[in-house]
Amino acid sequence: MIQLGLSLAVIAAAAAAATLPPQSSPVPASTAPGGNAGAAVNVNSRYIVESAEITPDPRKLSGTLRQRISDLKGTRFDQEAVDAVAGKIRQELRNWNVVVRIARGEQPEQVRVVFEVSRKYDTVDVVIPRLIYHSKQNFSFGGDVTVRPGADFFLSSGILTDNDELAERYSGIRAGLGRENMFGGHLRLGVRVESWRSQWNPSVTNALANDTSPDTPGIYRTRVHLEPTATIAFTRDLMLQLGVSMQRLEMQYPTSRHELSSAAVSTLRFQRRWDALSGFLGKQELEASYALRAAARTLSSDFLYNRHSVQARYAFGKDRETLIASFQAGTIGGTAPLFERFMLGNSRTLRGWNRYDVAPFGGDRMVHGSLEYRHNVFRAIYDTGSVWQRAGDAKVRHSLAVGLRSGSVMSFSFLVAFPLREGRIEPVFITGIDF
Amino acid sequence: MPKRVAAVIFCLLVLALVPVLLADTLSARLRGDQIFFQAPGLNLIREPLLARLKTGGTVAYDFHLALWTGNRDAVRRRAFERFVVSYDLWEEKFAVTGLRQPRISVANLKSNEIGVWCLDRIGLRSPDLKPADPLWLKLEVRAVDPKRDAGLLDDPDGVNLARLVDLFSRPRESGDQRWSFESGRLRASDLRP
Repeated sequence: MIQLGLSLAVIAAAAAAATLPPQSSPVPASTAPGGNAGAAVNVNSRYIVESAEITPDPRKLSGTLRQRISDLKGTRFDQEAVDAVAGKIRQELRNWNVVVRIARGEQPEQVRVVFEVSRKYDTVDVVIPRLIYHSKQNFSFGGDVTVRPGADFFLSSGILTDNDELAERYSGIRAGLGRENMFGGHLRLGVRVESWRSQWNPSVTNALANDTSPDTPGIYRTRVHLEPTATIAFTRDLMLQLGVSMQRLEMQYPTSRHELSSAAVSTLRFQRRWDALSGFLGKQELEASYALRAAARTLSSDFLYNRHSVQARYAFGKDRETLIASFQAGTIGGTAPLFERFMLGNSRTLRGWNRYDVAPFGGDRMVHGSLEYRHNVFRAIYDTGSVWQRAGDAKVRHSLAVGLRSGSVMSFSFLVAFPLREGRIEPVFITGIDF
Repeated sequence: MPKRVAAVIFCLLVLALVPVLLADTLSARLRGDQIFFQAPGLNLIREPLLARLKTGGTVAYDFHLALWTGNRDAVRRRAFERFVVSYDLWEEKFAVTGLRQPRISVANLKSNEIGVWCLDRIGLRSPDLKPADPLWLKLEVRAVDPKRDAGLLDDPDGVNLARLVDLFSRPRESGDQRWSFESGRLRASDLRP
């Protein structure tokens, strides 16, 4: 099948006539299979609206508009009326996309109307990816600005200081650019540049000084990172990211020098969400990924290693309750730089533990699981996991955390977390957004 | 490889290609003084349009038919129609409504019946031709949001040519889908009832 626009030659040839008389002659529908469906353009107009809702619920929606949505219930489905309500929602939520979805109702001959809203990122988007205070590890915070000059291009830049994720506190700037939605939305190209200055906790330097393993890497002052990537979306749920990560490290010991860590990176990611349309089962979300980072001499890398990691997260929500189960594991073969090593004991793993007490400079083996229950603003979390060296023994640790959480888009949380161990237990306070 | 095996493989390849080649063909038949196009490969329901329909949305299809004769230097007949398709969530079948007044509708169609039904409702008045006279056919279809260019068919005098040119030559917008079929050179005698 050939897809072409109307050729200019055709248009030019036809331009002799100014206005075309209506030459077509529709045949009465009675001769067609299936009979006449009536004058309504949308065939679902014969069904009754069983329920009408907006999801996720944007808190700033006016009471009047909420009432208009509610008023759709019990009426015969009317495309124009539904479109009018969607238009009103767009007026009130200016930076949001609104999509109307109609689904079968619970009862025969009834339909459900769902207004799905999502934030729009078409101009300038400011995001705070990190804002966390951990009573043992102090603040981590950052901000990114993304500009989308066209429909598919994006430029981003930001600052960050993070003392939560890696063995080091890394602070600096980052920038990126890319193009999305290539080949019908199946390809995205991007490149990321970062420049970080690293600060090391005395716990890390002391532990490294006492470590005699030849595979233990040294600390560095700065990291400059360049990572071009291509993301291939096989389906809406499944995507593969391929790229090269090149990091130039300014090593501190035994003498100041530069080393290059270059790795081929690939991540296979699956993400699927079953929303309220799936009926009584409620909302479900599944995310799973496998990542491989392989550094080799062919990439001029001074570090030679393979890093495998898997992650999975399943969330189930109904009404005001949500249950989230997550799992992650990883292994490193060879000598990887410190930023590649696995850490546990921060705002997302083994909450209640200080990561410098668990493994000061991380480990090359890691397993972690987490179970979280939410009811309204209340959340309770159980974490368990272990991070260890391949030559050492794994020690499994557990922790409990309880706290409060607000909002759904950019949620603010406060947690009090306890390590589950014998002896004196000192709680850890964690507060911030999106953790 | 024995010649016989090679011949069998060649025949199988040819047989496999036949449906592919037929899928892109455009032909026409004569009913009274009207010419109706036939495009067996016209499959109007595909992603992401199917996803839109299955979530209760509607999709408008603009059909543009053109017929040339002689040296193919001027369009002799042309027609434009818009049909709106929706998907019955309970019956799990498609419904189509033609927007030209008086409106015509049909329900309980399968996806492969939609194009046939629409083409059966667009007739071109047959020009006076001798059996040996050459003619060419072209069918273009675009899928758009039903709200786009609303009121297109309200003009009782038909669609203005400039508007038609504008519609089919404008750059594709996100979500647009287009189909195009050409018949190649035919003879008037090829138009069978």
